[in-house]
Amino acid sequence: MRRYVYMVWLIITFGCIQEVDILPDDSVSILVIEGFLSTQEGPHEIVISRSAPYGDIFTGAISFVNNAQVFLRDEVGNTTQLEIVQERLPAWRTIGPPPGVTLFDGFSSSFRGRYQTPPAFLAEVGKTYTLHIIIQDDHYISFPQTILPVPSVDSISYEVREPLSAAPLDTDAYGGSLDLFVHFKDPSEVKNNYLWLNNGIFSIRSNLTGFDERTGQASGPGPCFDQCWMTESGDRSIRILSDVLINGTTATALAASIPNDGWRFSTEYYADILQLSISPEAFDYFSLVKNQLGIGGSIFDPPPATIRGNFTCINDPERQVVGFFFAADVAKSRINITRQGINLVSRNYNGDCRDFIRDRLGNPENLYTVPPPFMDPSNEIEYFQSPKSCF
Amino acid sequence: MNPLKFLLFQVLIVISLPYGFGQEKVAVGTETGEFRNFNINFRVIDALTGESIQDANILIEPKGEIGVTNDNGSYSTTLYRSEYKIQVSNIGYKSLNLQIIAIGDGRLLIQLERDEILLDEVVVLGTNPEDNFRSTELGTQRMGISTIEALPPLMGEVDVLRSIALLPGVSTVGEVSGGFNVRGGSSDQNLVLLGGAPVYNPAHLFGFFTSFNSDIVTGVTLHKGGVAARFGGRASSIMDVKYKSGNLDYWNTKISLGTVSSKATIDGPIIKNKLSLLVSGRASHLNWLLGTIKDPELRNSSAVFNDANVVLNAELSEDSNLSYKFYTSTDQFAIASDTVIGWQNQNHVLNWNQRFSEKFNVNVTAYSSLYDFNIQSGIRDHGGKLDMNFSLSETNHINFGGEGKYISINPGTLTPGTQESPILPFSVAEEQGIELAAYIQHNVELTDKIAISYGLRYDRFSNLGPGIVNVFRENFPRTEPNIVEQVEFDKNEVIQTYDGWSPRVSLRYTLNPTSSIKAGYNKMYQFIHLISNTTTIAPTDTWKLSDPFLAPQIADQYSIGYFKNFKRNVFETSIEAFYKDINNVVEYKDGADLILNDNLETELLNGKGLAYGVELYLKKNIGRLTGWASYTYSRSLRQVISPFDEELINNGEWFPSNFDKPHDLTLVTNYKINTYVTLSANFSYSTGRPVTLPVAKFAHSNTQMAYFDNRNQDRIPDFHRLDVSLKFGFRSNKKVFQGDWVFSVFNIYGRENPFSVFFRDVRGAPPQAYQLAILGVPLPSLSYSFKL
Repeated sequence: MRRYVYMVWLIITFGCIQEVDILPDDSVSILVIEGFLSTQEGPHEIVISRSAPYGDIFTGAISFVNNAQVFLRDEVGNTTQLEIVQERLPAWRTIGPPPGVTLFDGFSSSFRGRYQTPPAFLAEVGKTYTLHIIIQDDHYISFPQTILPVPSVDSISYEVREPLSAAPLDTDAYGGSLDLFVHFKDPSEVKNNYLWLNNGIFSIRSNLTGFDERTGQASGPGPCFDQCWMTESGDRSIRILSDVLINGTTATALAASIPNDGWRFSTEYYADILQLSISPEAFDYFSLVKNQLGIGGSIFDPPPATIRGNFTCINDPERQVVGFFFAADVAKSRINITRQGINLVSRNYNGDCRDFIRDRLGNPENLYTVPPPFMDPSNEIEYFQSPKSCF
Repeated sequence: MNPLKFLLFQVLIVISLPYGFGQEKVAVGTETGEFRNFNINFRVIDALTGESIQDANILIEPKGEIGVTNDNGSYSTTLYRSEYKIQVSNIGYKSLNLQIIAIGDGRLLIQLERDEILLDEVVVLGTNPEDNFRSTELGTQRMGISTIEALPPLMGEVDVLRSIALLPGVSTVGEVSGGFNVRGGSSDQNLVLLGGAPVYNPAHLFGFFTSFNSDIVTGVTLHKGGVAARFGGRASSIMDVKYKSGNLDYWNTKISLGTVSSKATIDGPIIKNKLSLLVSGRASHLNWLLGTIKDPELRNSSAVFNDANVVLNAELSEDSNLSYKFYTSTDQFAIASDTVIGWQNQNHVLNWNQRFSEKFNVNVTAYSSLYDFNIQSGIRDHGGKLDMNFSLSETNHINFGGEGKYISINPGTLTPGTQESPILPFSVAEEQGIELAAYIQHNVELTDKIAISYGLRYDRFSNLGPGIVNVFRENFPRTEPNIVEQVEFDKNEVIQTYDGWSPRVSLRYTLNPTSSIKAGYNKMYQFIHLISNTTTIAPTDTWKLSDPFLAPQIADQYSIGYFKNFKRNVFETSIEAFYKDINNVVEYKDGADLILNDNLETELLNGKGLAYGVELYLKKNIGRLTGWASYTYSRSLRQVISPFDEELINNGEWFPSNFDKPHDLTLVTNYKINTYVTLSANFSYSTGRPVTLPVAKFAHSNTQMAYFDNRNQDRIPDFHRLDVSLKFGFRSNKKVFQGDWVFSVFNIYGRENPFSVFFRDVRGAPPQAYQLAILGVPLPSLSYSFKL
């Protein structure tokens, strides 16, 4: 309905949305836990952090909790320890006059509150798990989460959503998107709640002209690549559905809507859709988060709500904790989308494709100059596994 | 024919302006030779059309009495055998002076002639100014259509509801929002009556305008405290919008052309002096405006609102009147090829008024009120009222009667758009109930100084089957997993009944001839509730009847006031204090899911409401400069206590409601520059309404989200705005050019009043607070209205 109000607002008034400085003086520091367990191969990850005062980084930065003891316990008492992950973070250097151009400058090691299960750990359908976190003398525990079976995805289809108005070509706002729909049979005898996650792999081809578009300077020195791959989560929206309206039917649901930025669909795109079964409490939690993310200043917005989740501090039950731990069965499915048949604007990069992806991702761990090992090789992509001359 | 009636017919004297311009003495009544008080009834009508003139002022000297005529153009008083000078005036009419001699009980019919040249001096009364301190009414405010029309319009639209918000004790959550709040009550606690029938969403364009066409309205009365026993059904206020009756003598047409919409009204006699017809329609031009916008999505969209009214009025006899009123309003919006959103009101009202004697009259009303809103939802409200008035003497009246209604609510149905649609049809069970009430009220002047009005009302509501009621596990929070059983009820089987007595009393003590103190108490029951988790009324909001989980809202209000007039009623002043507590206020769990929810009780919480405040009011009635100033200090608080943590709001502490705005100041002025030009301005200031600010940010899937803790602990910036308008009344031989041009500027200094504040983490910027201002710039408009 927001769009309707916006329409009326636009045509008969001259309202505006602008920044306002009305943040409260006081703030609280709350433990934030994010992560889930699934029947997919691990490792599974839990991230623990502490909230900061609302505002920019100068107001306060979110800090990670790296000294926690984290373990899972199932209903028969088996305990699995999660270990903290040492993360390789990219380092950057800036060249040229301000604002300059930022270039990747190797890695540094750091801890960012990420805890992972052992690689061999597998969660099982029907089992109930509880997450325990001990930080110094405080013991936090999640509500038990039972893994419910999820129906498999029969197929994935896509629809091209063309932009309604032409966006200027010199920006990222190319408009349009690719909507991915999953088709599955919802079991009628049980109440199901679904969550969809997506991962994408796309390839970028570049023109090796000896000129680097980013820096505005000559490419090199050294070899260049003209085809790179990167992984991403194209749609970070919360895609959830309760089966109230689809119970027992062969259902279709929008699992992802991946915006076109001119690059993603320029060659080919692989989309992995993960269909998860989640508990009703997890569904409510995600609904709350989704509502809050959707608040955009409409006069009919719901008021903001307190997001808590399913953790409690055993030694201080009054303490506020944010975050939801859930465990889910996963059905994974993939679709390969080629450039043909997608009438969306695309563009080309001039220079070494690695620079493009590094610049865009900020995390070169996801950069591949050969097809990533989990990419389906049964297609007709011509792989360029050797570096080429930059000219 | 009873003797009294016979007597009245005998003494009926008609005075018409040209002949009786204060020169001749007119004897009123049949000579009996007695020296006592006589009952005299004045009836004021339009000399040309024969229409009753409501709100005409009658000044009786040397008694110093000022009377104002009622809906029927009548004013009754008692006059001792003597000579009197009478002055009768009303806006748009020439004043009439005459001398009378009261010689017995009788009636005087007074015809006023229309004044084509407006007076330099404006009289804005609408009510008898002496009522301010003489009547026992507390917290009742009337606004005539002339006052409403004098206010600066928004986009050329004269707005009945927006005008009400300028009165003390009345506020809105923001500019151009649907609904209003009276003395700390939520917007669903106001019963809006149009011609006697309830209207559930009188809004056009999501609340930008009211769907009441000002051309068919004579005025508005708002009962915000000391509510008479004949009114009930809502916890906070009754807003009574009165229709015009049609012209009984000749046809006339009024056309108004505005920026957003245009309207036309035609009225006149079908049978002269017996049966009149009034038809009025208004339609928007928004589609035309949309077509001029470059954005293709908007250009292919559609926005339509319109409304229409029909009034048929039959004067069956001198003492009997029958009328039928029809009202419909529609709003419909569609963006490009998307689905349509809209809502519609439709009312039918049949009213019969019979005066059986000077002392006894009966008013019977039957109505049907329909409100349809999105996702195939709607309210059907069919009801009737019987009001009887018995006058024991001029100062001793008894009113009694009753009302009943059958109401059904369809919360909504979701139908698959196409046959291939994977969505199953889904509907939330319909609700139905019967609401009955009976009342009696006695208004009496005990002594010269003391008057009392007291009454008792009995309200009863039954929620009827068919229906399914959930049974929840005992001592567990009301959540879906805790449903242990479902009880099914058959058609018309009583699911739940609530009833209660609502005493009403107000007392006046006259201090001196120009001032008094009044005190009052009233209790109100409300059995229907708006289920809305948004700040302002939305067309997707649903209504719900009281059921086993949703008890009626019950308000107890105490008020006291000091009332004084100055300078022979040129100025009216008052100071009123009120204290109101409301039980069973509807509150919502965090993140409540309210749309198409079959187990709505799992999302609702039972709260308490508390409101108190002081209202100051100064009104200037007569002169080149007229208007009023009002200041209200009030608080509106809520509390939700529960044994379960997840059902507590703010740990069970009192917290400000969404519309708690402690300081509220309004200045309204009309200045008549000369015969043809009037300058009007109104200024409003209020404290910013409460908002919940984040106490922290946290990371969720690479987005920084706001963490909110206690509700409504901070406020958005204060609200203030100035609107001005200039009205030119042109005169010409050609009727088309003889009309009123109104040029107005809404929000003249372009204040960006925040309507809401929200928090976002968008790519390329730090997490930030943003405000939405609905009207950010001065908004000029021009309208022209003329009569044919």
